[in-house]
Amino acid sequence: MSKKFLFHRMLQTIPVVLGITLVVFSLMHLTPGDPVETMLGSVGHISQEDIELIRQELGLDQPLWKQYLGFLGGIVRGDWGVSLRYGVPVKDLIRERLPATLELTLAAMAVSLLIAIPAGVVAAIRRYSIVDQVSTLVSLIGVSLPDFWLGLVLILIFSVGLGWLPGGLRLGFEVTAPPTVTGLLLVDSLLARNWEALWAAMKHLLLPSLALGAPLAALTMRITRSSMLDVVKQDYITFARAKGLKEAVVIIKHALRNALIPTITVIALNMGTLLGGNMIIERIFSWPGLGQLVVDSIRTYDYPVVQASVMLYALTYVAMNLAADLVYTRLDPRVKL
Amino acid sequence: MELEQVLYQESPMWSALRDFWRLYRKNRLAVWGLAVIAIMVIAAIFAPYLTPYHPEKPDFTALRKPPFWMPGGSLAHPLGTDHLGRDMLTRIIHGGRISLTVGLVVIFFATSVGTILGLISGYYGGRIDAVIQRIVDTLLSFPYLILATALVAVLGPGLQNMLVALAYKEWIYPCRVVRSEVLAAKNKEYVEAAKAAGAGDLHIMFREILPNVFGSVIVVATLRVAWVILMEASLSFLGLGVEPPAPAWGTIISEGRRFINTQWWISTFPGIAVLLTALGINLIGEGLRDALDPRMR
Amino acid sequence: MKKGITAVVLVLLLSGLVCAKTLVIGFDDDLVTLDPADFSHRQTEAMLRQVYEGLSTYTPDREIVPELALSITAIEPTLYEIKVRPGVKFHDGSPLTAEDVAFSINRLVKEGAMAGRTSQRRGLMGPTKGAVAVDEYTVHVELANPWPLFPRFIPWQMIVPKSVGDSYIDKPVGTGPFVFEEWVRDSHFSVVRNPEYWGDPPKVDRVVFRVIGDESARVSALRSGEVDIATFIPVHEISSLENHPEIDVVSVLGTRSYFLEMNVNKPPFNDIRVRQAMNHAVDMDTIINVIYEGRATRIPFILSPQAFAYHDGLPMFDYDPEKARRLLAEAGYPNGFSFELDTVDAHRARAEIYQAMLAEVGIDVKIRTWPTWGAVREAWMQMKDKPVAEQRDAFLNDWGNASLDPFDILIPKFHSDHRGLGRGNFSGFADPEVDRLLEASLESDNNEERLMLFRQAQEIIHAQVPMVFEFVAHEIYGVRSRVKNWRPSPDSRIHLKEVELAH
Repeated sequence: MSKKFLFHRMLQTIPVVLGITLVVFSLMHLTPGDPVETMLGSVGHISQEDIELIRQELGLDQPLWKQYLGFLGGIVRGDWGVSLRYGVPVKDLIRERLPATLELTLAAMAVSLLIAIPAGVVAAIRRYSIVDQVSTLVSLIGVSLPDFWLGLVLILIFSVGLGWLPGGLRLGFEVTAPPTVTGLLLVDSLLARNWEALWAAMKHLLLPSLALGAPLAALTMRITRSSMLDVVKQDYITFARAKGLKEAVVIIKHALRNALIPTITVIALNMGTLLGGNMIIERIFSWPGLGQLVVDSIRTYDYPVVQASVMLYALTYVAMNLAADLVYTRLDPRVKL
Repeated sequence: MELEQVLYQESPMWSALRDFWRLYRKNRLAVWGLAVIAIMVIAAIFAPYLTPYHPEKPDFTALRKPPFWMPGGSLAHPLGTDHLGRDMLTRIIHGGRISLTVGLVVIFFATSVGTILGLISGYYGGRIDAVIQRIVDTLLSFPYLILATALVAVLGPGLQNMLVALAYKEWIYPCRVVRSEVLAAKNKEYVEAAKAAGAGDLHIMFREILPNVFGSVIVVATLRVAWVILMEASLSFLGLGVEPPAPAWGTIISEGRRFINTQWWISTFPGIAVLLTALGINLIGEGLRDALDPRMR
Repeated sequence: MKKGITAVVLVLLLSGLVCAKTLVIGFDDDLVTLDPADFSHRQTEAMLRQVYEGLSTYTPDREIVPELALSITAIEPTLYEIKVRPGVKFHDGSPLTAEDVAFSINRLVKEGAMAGRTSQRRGLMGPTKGAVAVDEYTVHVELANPWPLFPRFIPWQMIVPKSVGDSYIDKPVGTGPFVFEEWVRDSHFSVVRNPEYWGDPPKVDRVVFRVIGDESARVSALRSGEVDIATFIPVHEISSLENHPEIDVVSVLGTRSYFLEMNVNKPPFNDIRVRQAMNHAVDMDTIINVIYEGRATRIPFILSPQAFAYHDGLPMFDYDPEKARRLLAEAGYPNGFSFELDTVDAHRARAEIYQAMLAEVGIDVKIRTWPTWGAVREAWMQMKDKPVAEQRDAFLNDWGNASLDPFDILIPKFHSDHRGLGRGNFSGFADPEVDRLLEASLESDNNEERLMLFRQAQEIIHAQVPMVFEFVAHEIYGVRSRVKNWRPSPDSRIHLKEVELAH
């Protein structure tokens, strides 16, 4: 049963992945005018021959379907082209930027889970209490907050006003960065036992991850609350209580464990939103990640970079989605198809 | 008085509305949300009559004035002025016109398209369902803002293109909700009965099923208005929204960002407006869910 | 072997960093490349110039002084002789010879000399054909036709060692006062002191250029002392920075002029009275005083007052909305008209002011903000063969004239060749007499004569009013008081040889 579902689910992703490539590909060809000339417009001393050469390099002189096939082939071979703006392979650019984005995204997830899960549990067990109502309102505020504005307000309060936390960048100016191993500064500075850098990196991460994680925290809290409410109604909880187990044990050991399944699924599915949200948060916090690269590339019509990164985002989403489904099927026997 | 009673008794619409309000009212926060949005809408409609200033005209004699409670501020500009001396309150009120219009227009189109496709997808199933659902899955996998940004960059800025960039994906949310509701409703007795009576597909879809899924559609649509308003603000913040000097909230926040070290109010107040609007709409959505769809609680 | 020595030197330098004096500069943009022949981007120039030197260079006072050359003289109108400074060493230990200089010049002008790419700086070499080393310290440069500007343009080029071969440079090795340390894209570019510098070695041990694109963040970093010098301070931050006891605000008249280009081929701007009316309708003094807080200098045309051949006799348009309305009525637009103004994000506030001021005389402005300058250029380029009615109307623009020679601004803006696909004649201005004067200026080797040619050209263009003429903005820097002996340069270069750090 499960194997069949798995197979079916995998099959479904094929047209989706093809659809993604088609959308990404057509982005470049929707643009009015010539992308190469638009792109090179700001460079100045560029001759018509140079433009022709670049056009050939990009294969823009070929029929559309051929270009599309070439594009697909490139993706499969791992050849994502060369950035028009920087003149370096897109792969290198992305590899350079990805760790920063990953670190921020993971930190945002961690922050939101640390806030949201306890709050959700408390709201559920003290249903209709003041705590419940307040946390409901807070979570509604969380999903109604423009994250970029939250970022600005956080900078305004903690950086400009109080001067407690830095308002941008990954590491202070006076701290020497640890040698790059993973690209994640927290991990690298731990490996290098560079406590100064670790502390600085943590301080720099706090505000952007709060701004990025707030909407996710709000969502997670609501899901945790409602799935906790579902779970506590189940027989095995009543049974556990009847056995005379301590309420805390019942809640944490029996209820929460099961209630976390849908929560984790939702978080996985929202990884995409989180990655998308990076775009503005990174800009506000001068965070040298993928999100900033995408915005800049869109603005300068650096299509190879735009294509590759949008592709990367979409495929990450598909993969997370698939993983979430599979985990969900494994953990929750009720899901059958 | 008498007439009202007569109406209440005789008109089924009135009694339905009254029932609805009785349920809705139970959610206090939802009532507050309704109040906030009502004020926003009224302010947006009567914007030109509410303040003596023009939202777009610079005033070089009143540059970057602080809000009234700060030294140098005055009640003439209760929320201060921006870098071109324009009254913040006036700009925020006018900005509401843009945000609310974008939210409503996008959701209207998205909901119409999404509902119809959802009905078709759920009712007919099979190949057509598979195709629509794969399109939905594909669109779902793109981060909302990134593709919208790319679209605006390609199409050029402006209100119309922003509407397109926001609506391109928005229809999939009502579509998914309607589809699952239709799947559930398909085997219900009333549909069976209509089929037995020889009703056509269109009749069943729009006359029998649609009214029964309408509640969920309204709830989803309402909640999505808040999201679209947030996205509109984000696009404007990135400089991809309506053209200046139109006072879109996101645009004002992004302009004010330059002044964050010195004139914090320029980017702070429009953000509060976005927050209140989105929150108000979300609260209404919650209330509607309670009132229209008691199952959900 | 050489590499080994460099490594040892570097290690010594790095180990000395514990008590080293590091100067941090908060910079508004990153480098685009590490190859000194492949950019036209002034931030890149400012950073690479710490590592590389030119044959000659500009001082902050805009004087040309010799650097790696002892002299540059014209033997014939098309042949220059360069005497190379002896005793200079590259950072890898190899000595600088005439071969390196000839190689560097040829690398700039030869097609595909850099791993198949052609230098983006070739345009700045004019008709230069190539160079040969005559003896160990003498180079001959051959020109295709007389180009007296050669000595004025050579300071813009940097000298690389011939060991570069036909590769693209990704690890800079120059002769400059600082040795390249590292570049982390979008983060920083750092250099360390070159103890074997041929001149007086610099007084700071290390310099880090921090890329902080966001201006508020740059100012915050200056305030907290994280950076010692911050570039491009926005005017609205000045007063609060001036109150800071440890920060000085210094400014310099930049080389970038601002203007609005009107499409002179399309109604209503094909009527000179409308173009005059536009100039009278905008209150430039208010814009400068109020928006730029006085940190800009009004100009009658587009040349900076510091530029060669600046014409101070050209009349300035006065603010006179009445006159503007009258001119519009005479031109047949008594009720004004409506047009679309192209611009980019950086000029948005200015565009909105125009909109408000022009509305006073009945002109309705629709602003179109484009994502990049290149996008506007593309839009204008596409329309060049279209019927006039489909063309675009006007572009609120600016132009950096770093050389402060009219050559690099009058020609791209007003020569008829630069309409459409050219470098930037958006107004579509074309006048055979102006073309002739500008071309003659390129051939002349007599400064007096060039001055006359440029002045004549300016008079003709100014009389035709193809633009709304505006101002040259000041460039404002914030400097921590521990930085001694530093001052800004109009061309945005950062001169650090003399700079000291207190305490």
